[in-house]
Amino acid sequence: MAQTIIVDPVTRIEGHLAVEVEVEDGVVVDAKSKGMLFRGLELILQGRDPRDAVQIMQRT
Amino acid sequence: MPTKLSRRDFMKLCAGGAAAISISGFLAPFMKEAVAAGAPPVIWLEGSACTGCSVSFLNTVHPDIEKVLMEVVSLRFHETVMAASGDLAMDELFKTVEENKKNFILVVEGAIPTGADGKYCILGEKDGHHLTFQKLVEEVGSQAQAVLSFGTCAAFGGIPATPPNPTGCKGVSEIVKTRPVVNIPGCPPHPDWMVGTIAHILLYGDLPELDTFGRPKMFFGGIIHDNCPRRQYFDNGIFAKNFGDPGCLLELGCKGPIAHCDSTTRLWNNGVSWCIKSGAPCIACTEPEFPGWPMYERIPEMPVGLAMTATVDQIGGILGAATALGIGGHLAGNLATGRIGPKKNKEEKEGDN
Repeated sequence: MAQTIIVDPVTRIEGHLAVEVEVEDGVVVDAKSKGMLFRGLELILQGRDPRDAVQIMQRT
Repeated sequence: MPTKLSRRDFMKLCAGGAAAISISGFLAPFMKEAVAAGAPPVIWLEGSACTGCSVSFLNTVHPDIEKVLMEVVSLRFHETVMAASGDLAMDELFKTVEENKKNFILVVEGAIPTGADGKYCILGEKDGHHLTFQKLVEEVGSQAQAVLSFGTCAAFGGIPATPPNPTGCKGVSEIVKTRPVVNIPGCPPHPDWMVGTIAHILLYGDLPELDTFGRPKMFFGGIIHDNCPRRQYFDNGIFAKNFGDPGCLLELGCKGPIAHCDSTTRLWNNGVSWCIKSGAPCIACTEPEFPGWPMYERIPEMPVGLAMTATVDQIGGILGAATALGIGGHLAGNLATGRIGPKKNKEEKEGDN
């Protein structure tokens, strides 16, 4: 019988992460890690002065 | 709340911006006392953020951050520094809210994405369902004594809310309308601004005096340009054309004339330096419009909100007049002292050099 373990949120990291692990008879059979934040900084940069990338992308 | 530190001394201390002395170091014993006497705990939530504000907060140098977190501020939930994770962390969050209704301080770091029902930022799970950051801020914020927006993202939307604002990000004051919200903008804010604001609430039980954008006046009352160490260059009409040149940084895109904060006197990294001292033009990261303008272009060309247009035009006009005056004055001065104009003879010229 498969058991699902979910750790959400994963703390002590920068950002938002969740981990989902499926365990069957004590063995991991599937694992997913999920980034839980989307900001679209690439979309924001489109059409801007290229020098602004220095200031905006350092804040990822 | 009884404390030995008078409100007058507190304001003096905070507004004084004592360089090289961390105000948190001075405030720590008073805050410790207040916390021991039952001052409200702090919950810190991160949304559409880069965690830079947390890192800045952790730069509180004296006393070291471990002491601040364990003794000075009763911090119950903070994703980046807490030991618990997963369900344990979420349980602690809801337990703190439940036990301290209207008696805890909520700190929000990062903007709140409202697009796609808030699904652009998920913070943990409750009863098997994803909790969107928007819902969490609405729920927890409505039960807080006060909400502190740390950083320009939380205060005004900041970088993630820059057009085209792909995730529909908003500042906290647009989400939490029933509780008082204090904005401590900055990208990131100075640790003193954050610790100082928390200290004011812990020690006196109310909010510091705010300006029209909800920023504490004791930290955001002045304009960078007024106290800029390069102000003399501006007055004399000397403008840097390249990075590393001496001169006012206006032509390189400095937004000092519209930026409200006290970095000129407070300095950063424990009083070591700050943006303009390191030769970088101010990007006005404490302003509501940040970063809606080209960072390295002269200010009058920037797009601003309707409310700000008049002010910026005025600033532009004054800048033009002041520059003309400055250059005129400089030339007149040079003529008077004979630095320019007809050369007397070769020997004297060499002597001048």
